[in-house]
Amino acid sequence: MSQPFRLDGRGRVDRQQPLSFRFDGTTYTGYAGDTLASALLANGVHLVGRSFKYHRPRGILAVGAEEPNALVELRTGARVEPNTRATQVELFDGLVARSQNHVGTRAVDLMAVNQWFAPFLKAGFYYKTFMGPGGAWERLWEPIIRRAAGLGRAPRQPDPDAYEHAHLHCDVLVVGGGPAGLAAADAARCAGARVVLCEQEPRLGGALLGEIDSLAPWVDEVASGFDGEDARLLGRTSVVGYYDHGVLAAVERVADHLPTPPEGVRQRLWIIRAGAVVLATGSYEQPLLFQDNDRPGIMLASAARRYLLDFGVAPCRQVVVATATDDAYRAALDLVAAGVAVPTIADVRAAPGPFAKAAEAAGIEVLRGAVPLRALGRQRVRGLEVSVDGSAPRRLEGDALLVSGGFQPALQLASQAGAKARFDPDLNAFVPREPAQNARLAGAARGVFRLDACLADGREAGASAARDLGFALPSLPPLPAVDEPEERPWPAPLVPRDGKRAFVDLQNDVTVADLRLAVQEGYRAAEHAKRYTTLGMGTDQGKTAMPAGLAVLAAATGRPLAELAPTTMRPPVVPVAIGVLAGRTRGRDFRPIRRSALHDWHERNGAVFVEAGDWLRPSYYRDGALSLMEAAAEEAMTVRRAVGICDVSTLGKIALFGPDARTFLDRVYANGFAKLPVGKARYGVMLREDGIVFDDGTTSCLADDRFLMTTTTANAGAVLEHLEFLHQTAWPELDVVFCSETEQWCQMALAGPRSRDVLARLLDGVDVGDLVLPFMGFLEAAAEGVPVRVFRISFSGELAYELACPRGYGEGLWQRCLDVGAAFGIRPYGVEVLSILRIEKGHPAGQEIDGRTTAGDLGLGRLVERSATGVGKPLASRRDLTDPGRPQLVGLRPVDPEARLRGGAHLVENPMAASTATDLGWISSAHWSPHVGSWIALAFVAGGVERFGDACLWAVFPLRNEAVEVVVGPVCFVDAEGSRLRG
Amino acid sequence: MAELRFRPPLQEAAHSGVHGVGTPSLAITVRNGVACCLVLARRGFAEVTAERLELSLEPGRATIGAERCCLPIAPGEWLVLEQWRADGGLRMQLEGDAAGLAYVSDQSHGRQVIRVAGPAARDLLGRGCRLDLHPRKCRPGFCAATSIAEYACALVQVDAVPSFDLVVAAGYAESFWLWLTDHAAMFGYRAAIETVDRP
Repeated sequence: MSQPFRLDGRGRVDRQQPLSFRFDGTTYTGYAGDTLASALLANGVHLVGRSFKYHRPRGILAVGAEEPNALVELRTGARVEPNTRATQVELFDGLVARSQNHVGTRAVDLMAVNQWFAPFLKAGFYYKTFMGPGGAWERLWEPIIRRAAGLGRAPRQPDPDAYEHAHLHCDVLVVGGGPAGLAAADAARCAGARVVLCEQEPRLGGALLGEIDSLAPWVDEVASGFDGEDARLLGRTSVVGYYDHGVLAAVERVADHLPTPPEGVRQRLWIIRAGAVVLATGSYEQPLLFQDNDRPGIMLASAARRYLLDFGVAPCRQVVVATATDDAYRAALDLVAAGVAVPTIADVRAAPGPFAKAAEAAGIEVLRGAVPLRALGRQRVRGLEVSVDGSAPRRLEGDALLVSGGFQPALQLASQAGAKARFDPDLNAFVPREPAQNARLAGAARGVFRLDACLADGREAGASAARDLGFALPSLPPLPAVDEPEERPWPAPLVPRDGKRAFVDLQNDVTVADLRLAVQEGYRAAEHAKRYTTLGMGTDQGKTAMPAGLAVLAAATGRPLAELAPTTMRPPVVPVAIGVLAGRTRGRDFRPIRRSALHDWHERNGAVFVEAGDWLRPSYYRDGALSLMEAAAEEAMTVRRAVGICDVSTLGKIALFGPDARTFLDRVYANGFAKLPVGKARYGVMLREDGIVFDDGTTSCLADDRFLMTTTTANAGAVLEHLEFLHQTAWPELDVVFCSETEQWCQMALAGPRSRDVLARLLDGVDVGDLVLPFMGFLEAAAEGVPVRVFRISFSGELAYELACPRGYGEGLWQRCLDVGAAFGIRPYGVEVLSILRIEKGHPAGQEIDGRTTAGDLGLGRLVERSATGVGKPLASRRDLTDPGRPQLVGLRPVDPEARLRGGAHLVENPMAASTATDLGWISSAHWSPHVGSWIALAFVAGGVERFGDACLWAVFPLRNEAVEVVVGPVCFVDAEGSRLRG
Repeated sequence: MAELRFRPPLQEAAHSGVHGVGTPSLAITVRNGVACCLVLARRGFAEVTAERLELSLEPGRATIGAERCCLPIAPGEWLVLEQWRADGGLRMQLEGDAAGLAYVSDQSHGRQVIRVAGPAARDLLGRGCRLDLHPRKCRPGFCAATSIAEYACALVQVDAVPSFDLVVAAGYAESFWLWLTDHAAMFGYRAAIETVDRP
């Protein structure tokens, strides 16, 4: 029979829309408006999975986000989603779900053998039981425990869905669309405040959905006001974190209720900045503690009531009720009215509230002072053993057991807002104090449980939030009238004498006995006991475990419950998919890509790109079947023999203006710039304040009050910040301004003996001979009317120029160079060759300027000694930084020309005794040099110059078990006298 | 022989036409015809520079004229946008007007201006912009040097449609364009590419 527990004429699901779904391979039906949990219950499925540690059979305890047991795996293929609460899964046609955490079937789970070993698996067992024998932890126990631990399986395929982030601002954020939240949101909206209302369910109403009279007209009226930019309703949205300064995070399940997301995103992470927040997050009903209180079929009374009234589902044919609250009587009476047998209510209180009489009038036996001892049944509850006033146990038969131990305000967000909780002895619940942030609590979230009071409390919270932000409150229509009898309070959680198999935390299988053991072993503080036992550390954050857990600790330590406080609650309040946290920042969009003006040309012409910060730079250009090394060798030899062209747009370019720009530069650089003439460029070394080299580059004087500084690609942003810092804090009196012009200019290096020939044919009527444009000279010219800045600087050691034109003309100028240069054998080269050429020439780069080296280490000591001023100069003269024993930059070649050198290799005299004690230095850069015909390297070696010609050093690379004998020499492998670059 | 023709940063990435879901509720224009300069007032000359060039000294408040839009982006620094006329033309004009008071850095090739207009513009920008763009806080003339998603961006609301001009670094323009249009797809958008008669 289809849906045998669905009751005719009851519930608010859409009977006109039947839906088909599968659970563990069996096809069932439900209705639109069902959750997976309600549909399973309608089909009589109570056993839905196995517990975390002991693999005990588990059912559906709750109806919402607090569900600790009914965690299932959804969907198939790449969309597999483990550990999802069946109580929050909206049913759709074709939904496929599976139970989790079993070997075999959910009914016959081989891992249930863990229950037999329960005496060995108690709290902290892995710290004790698996100590030995020596080494067995890593090899044996940890792999076994890791395999056994965890719940669902993570999907193996990449997530096919899209997620996004979005920002939202409002005056008042109301969290929770129950009676208090709706009243608050309505009041704030009527006051004119910009309001965002977040409700985690697809429908508004909260606890009202579990009532006979759900105040639907009032809810609809309030909802109708939330239809625009100023009053926004976010349904299916869980607020998961409350951060500093009124920033909250919420996850909107945009398309989780659909078989596959249509266009757009599956989930959205909202980052909400709110002027004030109303937390109307409601409360969670708490279960009772007794032996085997985790059997499938045991359900919170309020959950059963909502399944009945909202979904039209009866939990079974005959129900036993064990309660400490009056609220469970409502569930019992509604079930009786629906035709479900409720023979007995076992009330732990000696004096129940006003509903007891009504229950007895309905034919229900009410046992007063009835303490639940033990649940009967195994894979499905079969009844309850109770003891009335200490009498002999009595068996109450039933195929479902409703429990109600009291209500606990949802403290999670309040706690994150800085509201510590205190125990309220009148309510016997932990209630939040004042939040540290501009947040108000409303309704059950602060212990106001009566519906009429909730409505009024919510309205006041919303109104005062708006009022405090300066909004005037108009007169509001009266709130809906509700008539509720006074209820009697529930007692503090009862702690059973026998704590075995009395589960406090159902998700993490933590029992009363575990907590007592923790106390016995010294973990008396709640935070310590939590960590030792994992109490409240499951994905449900112990929403149905906290008050009872603290009660057990209080009893075990002989302290009053009021002396304990809930442990710190951290985001996220409910589990969040990693995908929504990543949003779009994955794959191509993992981080921004910065492209030079020539990027498209490089791409069209076979460039293989390499990342340089955000930039993508051509590493080399594919040339037929040539490998990287072969292609790079070809490119490098073209530069040495003819002419090559390289995109150097990525170098940082900072324009400095002002009469004091020269003074500023003279102070910023460790070498002097005071006398740099107009039309000339100079190499500069920039130190950090501690004397370590920060960056280097050339700076050109365009006019007496205009300079152009270049920086390394990697440090462009950092250097600009450095300049800003110095100008704003050290020398605010200097009349200088500066800004980045990196993006404005496309820059290309033209290098090689024929570079001047290309240049001469490129520029409009400009003499580029040595007299007009000598080494380190600068001039402004034009190519076909486009302005071109020409710098005669060289990184390769060859006759070379750098040409800069406005970015938009970059590709044209580049192509023009290639066209003109074709006659001279020009070819483009990438950063691989840039690196070869500069190693051959002995120029330090990022591998050498690594934040540890001084100008002296780099062989630039004499350059910086000439200037007395400059940032970092005082500390650069410290003894440790001027120690002649510091490793100095040298050049290396292997004795065997075929041997390969590797960056990162260490240098020792005896490769058989390589250790940190015998370490003499390291190779910072290495490459095969087509010019030299062997591998060459730049390295830092203690003793430096004194070792020139010394063939007794070995470069050892333990990762590959390599040792190569090397010869130490000068850093420069090509044209040491500089005749080529001065051409 | 190749010609030295102007090639905008979004030459290959941007395609005009209707994109995304449903009826377009956004118009996204690649504004290639905008000259852009940074005006940097010398120390002590910010107020007189502002007066001379009719610039706003109020943070977050741009001056929008018929032809020119000026955004204060830092103390004594303004981003000036104007219809492109000739290379270096805006720079030279500003240098002349602010001679002795401020220096001018031409950024016409270094920035890409993208205009987002339409009822969904705020929602779209809210996907990455942390600022409150609600009409109560953000009216025509509102401007900011901020970031959208991970992209540094100068933003100015130019009218009540609302239309926003977004100014991003040319090197990031393509990446930003893909981010923007990916997010715009759910609103539906019409892309237009402004052509400019540069040599």
